[in-house]
Amino acid sequence: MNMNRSEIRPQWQSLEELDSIETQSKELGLPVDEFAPGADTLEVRSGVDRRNFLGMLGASMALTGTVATGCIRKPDEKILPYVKRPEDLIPGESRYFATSLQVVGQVYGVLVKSFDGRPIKVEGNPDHPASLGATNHFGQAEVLSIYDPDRLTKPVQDSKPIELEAARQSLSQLAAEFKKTGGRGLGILTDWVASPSYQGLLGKLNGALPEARFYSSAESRSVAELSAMGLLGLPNGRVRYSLADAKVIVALDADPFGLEGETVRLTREFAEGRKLAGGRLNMNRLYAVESSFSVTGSIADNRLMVPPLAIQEFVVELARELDRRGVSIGGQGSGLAARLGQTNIATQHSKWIKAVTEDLLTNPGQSVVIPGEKQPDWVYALTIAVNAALGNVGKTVEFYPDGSAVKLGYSDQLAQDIKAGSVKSLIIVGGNPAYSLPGDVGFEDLLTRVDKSIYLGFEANETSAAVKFAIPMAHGLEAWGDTVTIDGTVAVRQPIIAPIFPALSEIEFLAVLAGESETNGYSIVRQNFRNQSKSGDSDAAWHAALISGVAPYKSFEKISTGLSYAQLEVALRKQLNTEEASADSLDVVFANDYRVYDGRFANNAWLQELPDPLTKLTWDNAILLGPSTAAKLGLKTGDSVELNVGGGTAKGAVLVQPGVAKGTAVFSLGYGRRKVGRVGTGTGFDTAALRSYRSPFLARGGKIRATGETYVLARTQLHNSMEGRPIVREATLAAYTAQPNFVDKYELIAKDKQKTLLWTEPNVTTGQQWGMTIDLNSCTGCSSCIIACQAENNVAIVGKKEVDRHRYMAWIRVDAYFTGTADDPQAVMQPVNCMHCETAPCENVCPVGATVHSPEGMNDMAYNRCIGTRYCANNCPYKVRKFNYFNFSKRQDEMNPLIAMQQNPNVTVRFRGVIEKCTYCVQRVNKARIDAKVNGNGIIPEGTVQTACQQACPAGAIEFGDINNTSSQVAHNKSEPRNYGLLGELNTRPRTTYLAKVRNPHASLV
Amino acid sequence: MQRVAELDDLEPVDRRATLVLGGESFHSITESVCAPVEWKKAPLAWWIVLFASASVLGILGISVGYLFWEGVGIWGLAQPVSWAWDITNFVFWVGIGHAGTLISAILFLFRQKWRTSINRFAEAMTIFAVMCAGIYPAIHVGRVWVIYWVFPIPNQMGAWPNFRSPLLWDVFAVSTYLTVSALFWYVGLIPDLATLRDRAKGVVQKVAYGIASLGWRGSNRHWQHYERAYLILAGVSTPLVLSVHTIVSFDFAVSQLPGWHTTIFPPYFVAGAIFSGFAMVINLMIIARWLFRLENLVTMRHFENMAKVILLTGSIVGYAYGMEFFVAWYSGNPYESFVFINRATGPYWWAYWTMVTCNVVIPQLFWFKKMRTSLVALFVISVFVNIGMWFERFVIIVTSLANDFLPSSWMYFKPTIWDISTFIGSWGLFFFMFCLFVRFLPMVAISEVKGVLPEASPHFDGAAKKGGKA
Repeated sequence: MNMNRSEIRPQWQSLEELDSIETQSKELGLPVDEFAPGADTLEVRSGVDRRNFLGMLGASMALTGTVATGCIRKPDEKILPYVKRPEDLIPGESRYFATSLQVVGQVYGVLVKSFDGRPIKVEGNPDHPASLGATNHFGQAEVLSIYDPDRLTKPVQDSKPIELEAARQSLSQLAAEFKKTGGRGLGILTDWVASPSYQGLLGKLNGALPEARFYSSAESRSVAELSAMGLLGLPNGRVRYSLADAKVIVALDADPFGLEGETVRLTREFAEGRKLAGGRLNMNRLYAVESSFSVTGSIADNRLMVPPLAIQEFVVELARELDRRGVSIGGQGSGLAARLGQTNIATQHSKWIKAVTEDLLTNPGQSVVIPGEKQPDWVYALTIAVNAALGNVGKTVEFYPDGSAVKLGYSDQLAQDIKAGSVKSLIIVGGNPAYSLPGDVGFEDLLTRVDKSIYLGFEANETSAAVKFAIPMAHGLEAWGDTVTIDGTVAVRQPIIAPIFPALSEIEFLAVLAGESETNGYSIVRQNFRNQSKSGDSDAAWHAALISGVAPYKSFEKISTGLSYAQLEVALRKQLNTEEASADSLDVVFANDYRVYDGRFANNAWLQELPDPLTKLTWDNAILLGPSTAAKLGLKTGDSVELNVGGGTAKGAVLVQPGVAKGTAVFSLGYGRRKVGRVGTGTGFDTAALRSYRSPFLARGGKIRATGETYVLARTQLHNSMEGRPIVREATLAAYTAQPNFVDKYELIAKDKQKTLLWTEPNVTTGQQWGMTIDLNSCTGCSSCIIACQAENNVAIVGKKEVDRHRYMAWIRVDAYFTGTADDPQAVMQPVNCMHCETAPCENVCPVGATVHSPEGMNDMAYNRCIGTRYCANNCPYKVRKFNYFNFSKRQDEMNPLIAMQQNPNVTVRFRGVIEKCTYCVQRVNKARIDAKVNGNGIIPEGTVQTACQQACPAGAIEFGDINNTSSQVAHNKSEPRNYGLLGELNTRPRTTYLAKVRNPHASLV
Repeated sequence: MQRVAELDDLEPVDRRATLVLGGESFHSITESVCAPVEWKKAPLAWWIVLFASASVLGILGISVGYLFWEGVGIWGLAQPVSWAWDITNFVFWVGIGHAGTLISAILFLFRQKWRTSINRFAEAMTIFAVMCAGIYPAIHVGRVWVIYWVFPIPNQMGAWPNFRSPLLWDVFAVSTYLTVSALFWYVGLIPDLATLRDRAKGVVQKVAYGIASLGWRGSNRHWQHYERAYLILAGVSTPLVLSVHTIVSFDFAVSQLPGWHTTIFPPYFVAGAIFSGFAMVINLMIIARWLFRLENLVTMRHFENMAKVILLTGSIVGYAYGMEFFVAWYSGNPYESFVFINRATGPYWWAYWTMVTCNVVIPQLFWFKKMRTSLVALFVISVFVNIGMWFERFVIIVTSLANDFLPSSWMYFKPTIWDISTFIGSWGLFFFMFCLFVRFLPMVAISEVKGVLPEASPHFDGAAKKGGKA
């Protein structure tokens, strides 16, 4: 939307204001609920009395012979005017609140759009250093999570639902009991929460219950990093990578632009280092070494596909090579690297190792080697040591304390302690350990061994079903809290809505447990702000922090002490396993899923239906095999299989995917949930039985066996070859330097011959003309745009069956194509939304004129005029027009009665039988136009309209604006030599154009 | 004697072979054609066929009802194959509807007298086929309740159809064709309806045929008006025969989809339509001729002529297939060449080769007179022709859509049970209408056939004719 500072920031929300709707409802004697008005009258009443019967009979008679459309009884609606209007509230106007969210392990600042008190859209906060105005796909989907009808709606104690107040009392009684013994026999299992208030309370809890033991479920925090920092003498240290000045980036099984670390910020920094605007000819270089395609690998300039264990060898070999070239790993003259033995990879990929080494050496302090979170701690630590040796520490790599107040044990310790009887009561804060912990931990079994089990959790899940006392946790958009990024930036998390179902926030829960006198979330956060604020606390500072979304202080500063390598040396000596996998067994890699992560988003329909960036799979996980591996095993996509690893067996379905290393199978986590809401039920396969706590992300010796059955894998893209067509245009940096207009070479018809038009030339020179550019050089394929568009434009979910029937509705999709050879594939990503063609083929074929051109160059859809011939969809060469084959919106409403609360009131919800497609967020343009007319001359200033996809894009790849305004960014982009129109030879003259992709591979690896 | 015998087989004046065999007289023709209409009780066979076709029609009703209730999603349609069986069926039926008007109008203008025995039947087929065809574009839209928006009806919203859309041209082309075909058929029926009226015994029949025959008394003046009206309607229908399928082909040719966007489509579609229409006439005629003992009226000569038309149009269609490939290659357009190679070798190869076999290879058997004069061969080959023509439309529509410009959206279309039932159901409608037709209307143009009898000739020498039925 219009992101004018003065407009979005002036309000902040008080608790009083939040309560106003509730208060009013109470005053009016109405039930306090958040359901749509009229929902209560829609209930089917039992029995029909005589009067009604006669009435209906009469009505039916009257209707005999007429078509029975429009005779559906509309529910009674009561208008509830504000008795006391909240300050600054204009009905029908959305308001924005700055807050922050921790989603998975990542913290970012967000601006939440609130309409009539309901949060309906999440945008990145441009002032927050970890979001820089964008979010990732998880962040965009958070706004749907709060309206999840399958949340824990009520506390449940001993299988009986109870009121929240009762639960709170019950909890404080338990707290008092624990206090008596100082917490002896009590275990507290917590997920990683990056919040000063939370960590502070955890510290207080530790103080109150000194005998209690704390464990980490490690669901949102990389164990490898934590443990590696221990090896390097900085326990509880965190690594912060900075790519702003990095010229060479080596990702070793790492996915910094997809799932690992501060992806939003890293993607932005990375993309900035590749922007080739205005004739710039230097860009960073990304190497990726991985065993299956990640988002990061898909955009890498050079990608090396090796089996999972070879990544460890690669790190060792890199360290050895650097050492040979005079870069001493592990401190001057330590000889640490020299003592590492040679590995197989040294000869196989010597060219690669030489090239990487060379680049690292020529860019000291301007390079970064990023280890993957799935790697063992010694690999992670060795990589950090390499960075230190290269002089990157303090520049591209920095260390920060994690701000944790309590040392957490791991869950295998918890298992031992419970089995040994030293933990008799267990408190679980957040997460879903009963599902997400590897099978050999046997968590559900452990829960039966403890006397008391208390769980604060968001959704009704495996853990809530297994514990004796489950309390609903408030969503981050519903309760006060605070967050801290890796670099110590604090942001206050303010609620946008009262909890939809009665719930405690995690800090309130801890405060009750710790027996604190203050258990109100707001007061705790406010108090924490007061304590930490070094520049002196004031209400003005607090308000300023709420308005800007960033607190004026940092929670901690970076660590300046050096690393120590003694422990690393010890760890290295015993670790390296260079044993080759036997020919017929598989190395099975377990990875957090791109969509549902570890299963926590399994009930989020947007994420379930989000196609995986590479496999384009929705609603399921699959066992990914490379083409050669699959051919050898005689398996093909869709085959049902049983995968056996170390005694455990899991069912799965095969998906043959280019870019998966030989002998490797990739099985993503988070599916096959045993107890989950209506959306996640029946999706995918559980991996728990295969995973072990010792090596949660890799299992060797996997045996796969076809069951002879097939399984439907619903994918949104089935064909990944461009068939030699000039769809994604790409050149190396060298080629681009030599021929800046290389895109023209791709044209099927020379550009100057693409001019004839049958009809009069469209007018493109008067008024404001909207256009878009998508920079393929920046796009990582992360798919945040897809969810952002879905949230903004009420795009319906269709479900697995309909996706399988190719009825996926998303208005913007990201096409993935593979180039190169099967042994060394490269991926290219291309977001495709409506091109808003100047001479749109869809427009002249519609018999009723339901799709027409606006004077500002947009291809508009009049839903209410559409009769649904689908001719436009057939004639659209980009296939961006989506048809409502069923009443998908209604189905969605039936599936989730709360979803209507999320929907954007400024966008029509489409009915069955009409075509829909990207509108360039015309509602945002119109809003900006109204503002421009009210406040100015009616001309929308540059930069005031952002489309939803553009706003969400972490890479800043999407630019939208007035192409008639020569000073606009989009006009600049369109004058770049890399600019080209997709299928330009068709003379459709697309308004959305692409900036061609430029890769910067090492000269010796082209 | 020899001279007389010769006269038996040849028209007495123009010395051409007689069109009606078996020495049928005016009276015997009237008797045999009116027989089914005047059945006191329809035979059991008719009831069985009627019931069977009504049942199949019921399948159509259920399919359409469910379609309206749930939406077009019940079919296998998707992105990018937004049209499949619906429009395939539409073009298939419209194509079949071509033979009738061609036989009655164009052959009439060319004075092809052999048409008289089969024109009524073919015209009825046309009308029923166009009815079947009309169902699909109407029901395939997403919001069927506002289908009338395609008509230029002045309204308070000021909304008007888009005259640039080929679909709108279709609306006019098909509705005009249906109207003119029906009128033409009806005008031709008037003298025969009067015959039925005159022979009717029951009150209902008397009144019904009386009203329908518009007071026809067979006066010279009536005949003069009738002949002129018929000639004019034939003249009006003739361009329509060409225009309907030309415009149907525009649905495809005017779009820019590779495989659709070709200038060869109008003649290719018209030839294909005549091809399938004649095949359908042969199929139906063989059955009716056998059931209603019309061997003397519908002779082997008729079948042979129709087989020749099939051979010609089949070869035109075959030429079009070849030319499409040539142009795809010659254009140098990679999308275009891909589509055609993909049709022949891609995932739908089976459909393509079914089409080629049925439409190009099998009709070549009609080069042999034996095949042209064998009822079994005629019947079987005609069935193949119509299978092939259905597949032709399927291949054009589905293969082009399924694999178009951007490979990211490619898919493989699979029909659902509802696609199939909606198609089968339309056969129910077609045969149901036919059952009613043979029972209530004269299936051969009595007055016209009488016009080609030797007796109709002013030079007819009644004494020379021997063995005729009195």
